[in-house]
Amino acid sequence: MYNLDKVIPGIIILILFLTTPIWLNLANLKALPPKDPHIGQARMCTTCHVSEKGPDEAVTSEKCVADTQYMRGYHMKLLDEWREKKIRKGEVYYKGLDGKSYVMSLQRTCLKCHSDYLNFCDRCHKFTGVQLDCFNCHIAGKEEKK
Amino acid sequence: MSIKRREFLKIAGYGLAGTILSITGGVFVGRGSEILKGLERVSSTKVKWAMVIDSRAFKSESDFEVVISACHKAHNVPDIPDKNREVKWIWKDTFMRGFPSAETRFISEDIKKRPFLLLCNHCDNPPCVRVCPVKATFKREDGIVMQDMHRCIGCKFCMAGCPYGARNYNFYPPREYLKALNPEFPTRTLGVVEKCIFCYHRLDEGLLPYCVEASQGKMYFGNLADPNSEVRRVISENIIMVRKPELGTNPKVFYII
Repeated sequence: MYNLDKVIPGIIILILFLTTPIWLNLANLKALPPKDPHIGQARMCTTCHVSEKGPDEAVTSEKCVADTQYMRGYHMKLLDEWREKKIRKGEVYYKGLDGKSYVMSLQRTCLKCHSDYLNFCDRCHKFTGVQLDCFNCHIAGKEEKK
Repeated sequence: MSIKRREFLKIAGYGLAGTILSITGGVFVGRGSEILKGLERVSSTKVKWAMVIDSRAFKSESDFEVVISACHKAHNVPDIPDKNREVKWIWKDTFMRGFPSAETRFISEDIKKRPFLLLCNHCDNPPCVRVCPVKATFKREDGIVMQDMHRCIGCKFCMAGCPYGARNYNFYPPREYLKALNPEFPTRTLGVVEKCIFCYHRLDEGLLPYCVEASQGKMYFGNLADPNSEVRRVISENIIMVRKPELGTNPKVFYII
């Protein structure tokens, strides 16, 4: 075989390059969302329930239709379920985690507490590259981007 | 391998008979009967919402204006100046345009000149539901013809299907034509079709539709399936018209003449 001294290092470099994600992960390099303007430090999505006045009212009062962990992961599924129930089946109320009944409505229930669109919805979705079309129709409030 | 003429004709005959049988059989057993069933089906639910509009009570311009603006404000209906592409859920029009098929030769001048309040008729046999390719428009159990805006693709079939002109397409971005937003209700987006929804969200919460509330007794609303309901009483006591009854859509908006 010719040029062994060049081919072998070449193959090694190629393998190293292709496995970069693994090495970067091992080096514990984390992707972080943009810095929170109010707190001044980078925060993970899981702690982005923060608005100008500090932590979101909805989080501090721990009053939500489901627990925070579930909502972080599956809020889109819950909203889909609500849409189906409200529009197709004509149901109105959703029994929340605390046993209370909540009106199934994005605007009239969710956004009443989570009123800071830019810091609550938009920051995480921008970071994760998720295009939202909810607010083409639903009214998010004053802080909505145009 | 040879085949006799007689055998060939026999096989061809069976084939032809089979084809004819399968074609006609298919029509009678399959699709055709389904369509007929769809046409004849009368919803047998306990609740069937209906509206009665007392056309005699609507006299001045403001009588109409109050009702129309109550609906349009609450539902964020844009006010578009382009008359060909406007969006409306409930509107005012003349008798001749509202009831074009009515026999009008000997009808009184008063009725001929009377303006009428028009809206989606929430037909019992709604053509818009039948033509919607994505089932964005559907009929609820209680007879309300609803629209799932999330699913509408803006194909405008329903606009072509609706004989009452109750549907409007959003040719313009609706938010730009809204002076004030009602934060309790969504707007629509560019490129979807919208219409009156009989205030299903209010009915589900036990309230009357906005227009009925704003009309102060000029409109009635209730359960058509309940023989003791107010709408049934009003319908039985007065002379009633519906729009284009000959089309067989069974409108659920009634007009007292």
